Amino acid sequence: MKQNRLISMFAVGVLALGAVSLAAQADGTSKKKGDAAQKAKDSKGHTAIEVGAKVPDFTATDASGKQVKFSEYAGKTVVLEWINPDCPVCRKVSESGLVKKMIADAKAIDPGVVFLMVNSTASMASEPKKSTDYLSSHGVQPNATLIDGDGKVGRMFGAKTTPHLFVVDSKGTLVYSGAIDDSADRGETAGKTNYVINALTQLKAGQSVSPGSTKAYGCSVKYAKGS
Amino acid sequence: MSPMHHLLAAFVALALSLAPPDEGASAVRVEGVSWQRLADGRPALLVRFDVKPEWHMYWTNPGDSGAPPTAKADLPAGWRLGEPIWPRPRVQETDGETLFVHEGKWGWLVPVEGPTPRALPDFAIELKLRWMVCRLNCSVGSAQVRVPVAVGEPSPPPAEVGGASFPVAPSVDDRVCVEGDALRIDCAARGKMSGRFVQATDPGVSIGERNPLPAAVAEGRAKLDAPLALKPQDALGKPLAVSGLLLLGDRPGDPCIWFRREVAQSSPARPVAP
Repeated sequence: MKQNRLISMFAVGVLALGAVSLAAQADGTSKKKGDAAQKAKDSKGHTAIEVGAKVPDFTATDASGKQVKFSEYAGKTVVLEWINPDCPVCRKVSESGLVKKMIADAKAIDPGVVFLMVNSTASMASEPKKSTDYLSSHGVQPNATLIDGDGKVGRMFGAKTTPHLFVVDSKGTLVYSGAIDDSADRGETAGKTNYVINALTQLKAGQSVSPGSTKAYGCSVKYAKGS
Repeated sequence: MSPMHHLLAAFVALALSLAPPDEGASAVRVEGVSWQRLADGRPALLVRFDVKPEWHMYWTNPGDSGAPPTAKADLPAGWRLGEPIWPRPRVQETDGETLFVHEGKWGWLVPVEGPTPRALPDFAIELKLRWMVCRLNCSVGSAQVRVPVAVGEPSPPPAEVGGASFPVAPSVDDRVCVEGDALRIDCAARGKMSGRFVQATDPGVSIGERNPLPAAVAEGRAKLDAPLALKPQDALGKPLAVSGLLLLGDRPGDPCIWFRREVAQSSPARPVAP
């Protein structure tokens, strides 16, 4: 009898909680001021690093099968670019020489800057040579090409498009996330401002990076289903 | 032409027809471009796209990925293409990704702004269009369309193309404003029972991780009260503003209200290094 009563009370409590929750949603008001400032989450609930936050260490496999720890680059500015050889926008920025020029310009500002190309395309995990051939055919020579078939690194950074650029400063803080430049025609012609070069210039001058984020454009990252 | 030449030509034609096509390359067709007169008096080009089934193009804010179409034209001094007017997009939410897309037949209005508000160009325009179109994979496409001088007075644009409605501006019965750091919407629901706000791309201003945001619809009003995340340092030197569409109802032809409201800035944005 006592057990039945407890179960009934629990059920009533759950129903009441559900009713309150529904009522809160129904008024369409986002009452929590912190909503807009929460950690970046995609609609699957993955929490990505926000600009201004420290990048945790991670390990990934490069195209030769070697394990690469992000902490190997501690004390250096690191630029990460998400790529997909099958994405026409990604191909366009490579074919136009934009990426090769960006790397050259970046090294002129900071000779120690590290470039990591990351491919989170699930279907290409077993074809690392596809990524390295794609890069070398366009004269792009990164420090490493990471094959992120399970999408862990991509999800951690919140990479959504190819290309999608991230800049991590020498203290390990994410200072930029977004498009490669302000090209109005999505890489057909180089934009006036390359946001990576902009970030490196400002870092060298001891300034905070502005803009810290822009809208990346390109194909969606083809993550593994359910990742 | 000798029989051998005929044979060679036929062989080449056959080879070309058998070559595996880039499906995306033919996924978009520009059906036509016509002159229209907008309600504010500006002339505009109505570009009619026809997108193959299962493929989609993108709204001004494509969502988590993609890229919207662009229009360019080399115009004489004193003339420019204005900000395009976008029809109601479809909100596609699949596999953890939210996209704002245009499918099938849809229309895109590109204002042509001259020395005076109502001026019609007396020259033909070579309109260069570029777009991204996706299904499982993506393709980029382009077209160049020669638009002759308008003959006679252009008519107003249609209310919809391919079933997707063009937006209207807020009416006197609608209230859309930014108060402090919150966007407040209180609009007539126009007979619809649901509503949501889809933010366009506003550098430095965000309604948060959830886009679109649902509006509460009751007693003929659609209301939304959303805090804004402001990052003047990301505004690319432009004034902070929030813009987007209030989608009423759920069907492509249902009303939608477009607005843009500036946000008061407490500190100036730093210019971007050259």
